[in-house]
Amino acid sequence: MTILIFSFGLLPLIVLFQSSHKSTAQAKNLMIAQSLGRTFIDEIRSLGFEGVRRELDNPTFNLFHDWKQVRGKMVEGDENSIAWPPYYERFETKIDASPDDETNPTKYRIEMEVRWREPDRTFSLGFGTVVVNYAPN
Amino acid sequence: MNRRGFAYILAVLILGLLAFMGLFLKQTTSTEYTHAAYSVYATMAQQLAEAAADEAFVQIDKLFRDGSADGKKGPLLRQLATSDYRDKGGSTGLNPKLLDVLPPFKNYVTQTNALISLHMTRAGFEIESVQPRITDCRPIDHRPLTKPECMFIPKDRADQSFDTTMSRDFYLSIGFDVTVAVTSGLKKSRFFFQITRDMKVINVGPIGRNYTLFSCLGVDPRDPSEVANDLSRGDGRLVLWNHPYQSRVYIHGPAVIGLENPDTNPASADKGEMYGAFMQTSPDGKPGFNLAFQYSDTYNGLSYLPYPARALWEGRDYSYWNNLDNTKKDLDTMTENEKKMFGHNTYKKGYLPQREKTYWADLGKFLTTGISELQKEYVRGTRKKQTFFPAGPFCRFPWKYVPVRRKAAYAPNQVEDTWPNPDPDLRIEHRSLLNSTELDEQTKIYGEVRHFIIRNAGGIRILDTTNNYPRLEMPEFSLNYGNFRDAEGLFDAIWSGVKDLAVGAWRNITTPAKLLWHGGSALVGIVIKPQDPKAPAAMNDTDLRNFYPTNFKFFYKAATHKFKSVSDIPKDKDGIWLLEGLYWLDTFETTGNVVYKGKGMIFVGDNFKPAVIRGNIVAFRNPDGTRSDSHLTIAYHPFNSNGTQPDLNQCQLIIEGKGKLIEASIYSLAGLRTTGGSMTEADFRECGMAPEDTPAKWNTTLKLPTLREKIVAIYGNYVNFYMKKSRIDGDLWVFHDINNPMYFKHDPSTNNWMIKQTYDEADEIAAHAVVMSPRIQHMHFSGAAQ
Repeated sequence: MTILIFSFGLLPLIVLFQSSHKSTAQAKNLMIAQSLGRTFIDEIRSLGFEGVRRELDNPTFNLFHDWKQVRGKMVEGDENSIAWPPYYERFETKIDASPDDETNPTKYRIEMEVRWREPDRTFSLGFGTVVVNYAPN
Repeated sequence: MNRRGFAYILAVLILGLLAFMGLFLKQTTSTEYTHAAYSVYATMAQQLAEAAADEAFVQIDKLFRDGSADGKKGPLLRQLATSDYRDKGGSTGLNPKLLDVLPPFKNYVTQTNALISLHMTRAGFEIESVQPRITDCRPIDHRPLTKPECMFIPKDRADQSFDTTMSRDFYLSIGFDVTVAVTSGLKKSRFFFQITRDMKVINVGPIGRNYTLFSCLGVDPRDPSEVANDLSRGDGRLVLWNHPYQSRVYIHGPAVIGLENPDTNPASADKGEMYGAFMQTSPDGKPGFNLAFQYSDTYNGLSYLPYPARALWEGRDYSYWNNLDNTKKDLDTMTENEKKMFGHNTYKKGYLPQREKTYWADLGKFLTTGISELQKEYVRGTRKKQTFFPAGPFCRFPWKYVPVRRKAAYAPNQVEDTWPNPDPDLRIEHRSLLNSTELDEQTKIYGEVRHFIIRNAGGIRILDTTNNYPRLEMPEFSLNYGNFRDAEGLFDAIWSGVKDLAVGAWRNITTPAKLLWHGGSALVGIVIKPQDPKAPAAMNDTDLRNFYPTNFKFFYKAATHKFKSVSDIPKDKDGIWLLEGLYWLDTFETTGNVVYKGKGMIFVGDNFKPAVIRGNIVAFRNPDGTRSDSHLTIAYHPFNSNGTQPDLNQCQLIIEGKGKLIEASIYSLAGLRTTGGSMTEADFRECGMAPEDTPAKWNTTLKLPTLREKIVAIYGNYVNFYMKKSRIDGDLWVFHDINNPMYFKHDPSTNNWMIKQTYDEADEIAAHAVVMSPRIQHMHFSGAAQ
């Protein structure tokens, strides 16, 4: 009888613990998504306006892409590059650049989305920046 | 013992403990998630703030670059002009009104707002404010080069500088404070982002814009023979095509301009035939081209010094730029006394051909036949070929004329009512310090002539060879030489006092001190350090007062971009150089033609490497074919990696070949080197400049494009520290560019070009380039920890 009561008492606790575990996992995923968002956006910002334009015209780093799983080497083509941890494979990214003017752009609006699957739903976060042409000449 | 109750209690206790732990864990993980979410929002807010700040920076940069009435370059420059150096405790020039005139930048962050509304929609982001901050406005410290007392002011302007504080270079810091609000549920959080960049506002206008030529130290005084000969060396001519009455020419001095006597024959042992005293290569006594070049059909003449002496006289009408026509009318309005000055041989040591006569024949006749007086004196040049022409054709007064007595009359084209005697104003400007007559005396520019006396002995010509005649004279180089009322005074031996020193002391002068470039005192240590106490004071030129041309600076301090070579210069899709700021290049070599747009300065001066121009460098043309207001200033100041200066005879800026046109203000430490395009008489004829014709005729026949194909032309002006004329082996013609608004203003109603002696505010705005660094000076983000 005691065991029965104890077991019934444990059930909500298990749910409680599972919920906590889920929250922890979600928080962890959020932090990973944030890390991806910060890393990619900073990398694009560091390219500068001309770099973005070059990358759009003649992609070298494949920075701008449709949905793509986060896997493989962090720096493609660099044999010494560290690889994304396997846990990151559950994340997908999509990065797009939109010029303010198609014919004579002076700014690029960079939109990045990170999505991943949580147990009960697909979660996504949007990051972004604006890369401006600081030295038009 | 009944222990069942204890088990229950234990189970409840364990469950309670587990529940407590679970709740605690739940609370913790929930908080962890909230914090993670908040951290994500902070990252997003920072990205939005950075984006907004970038958009705002671009906008403020655009506004500060805009010199139009709608732009803010004017207000910025006005504010900067009131700033002063830090060490004087001077004002930063900060004026809150400048911020008042700037628009609200929140309206300009359109792409950031698009990000918020289209993409980053998870939380309620909002750009609440984007506020600019301006700090640390200061002039860039180019002292002593830019100290008012060190910038050259000619005597006729007394203490009226060409420049104002607005002409300086400046730096400042611009920051933006961005506030991003995030609304999550009922809670509104704010993130603050600060970012600062530095900005330079650089005067990229011409160096020494009032001067067609400005030579800070003139011929290299370390070599006595150079003082006497450098301006006569080199196979190519250096021709300064000044704008009449307005352009100025400055050479530090002392220096000697050798004048041409094409008939000279120094190899002849017969003294009577020496120096071309009687000998003419033409039966008519026709001068060579270099003399014809200086000749005019007006009785006012053009000659620097006579062949034989020709006179110069002021016209009565100074209203128009084309004075040739006007001066022809002057004879009719002259007083009788004045007319006497311009009859045949009315001038004792000169000769004035009549305007309507065939003057070549007339000139020849003077020397060969019909000597009616008992004695004639005249001077001729001493050089077989003259290679330095401080004025081009069509220039009666190649230099701006402002008499000393009317110092208040600073505007160009001033005329003096009463002629001075002697008139000191038509000399080439040279080193001067107020209250220092010694320096003035020792740095004059001289002409080298031979003074002849021909005696008429019963109708037979006799060249007087007594008393060292025909003797070498060094009168001060002057345009009004032939008009000098006190003719005998011409040959007062100003020179003789100096030339002894020249031989005795200058030889002992050591090489200039090291260029202490890296120590920040470059161009200061360049002055001559004499060892001989008897050396002329001018050689002991450690006094930097009244020394530097306008807009001369420590170029590296003002640099806004650092490039390896011309290939790094920003270009548009057509390959046109885009200028905005001061580009510091490691090397400067052009291989083809260059067109530039905008305003900028190119400085080359790192680890001496040759700088070579192999094609044209021209300003962008407007659609209607007219010259745009684009301007380029090239500064070549080579120095070795150890801070010393390279061999001054080998470090010229080279313009290779002929037919090159450079539209720029050019400064080169040791002058320019040209390698092709020495004009022959046939070339001049082809250009419509036949020697037997006059410049007035040339005015109608001149084919300027043909001329340009045969020479090297600079449209702009030319500044150097050392002349090194000997390195000019192809004709170099420097045209003071009337079509460049950095130099001249054109009045279409009168078709009159007026030099911009001083810049007004609009000119200063046009001359300054505003460059904001893309690099971040300071960044701060807060709010994530609230």
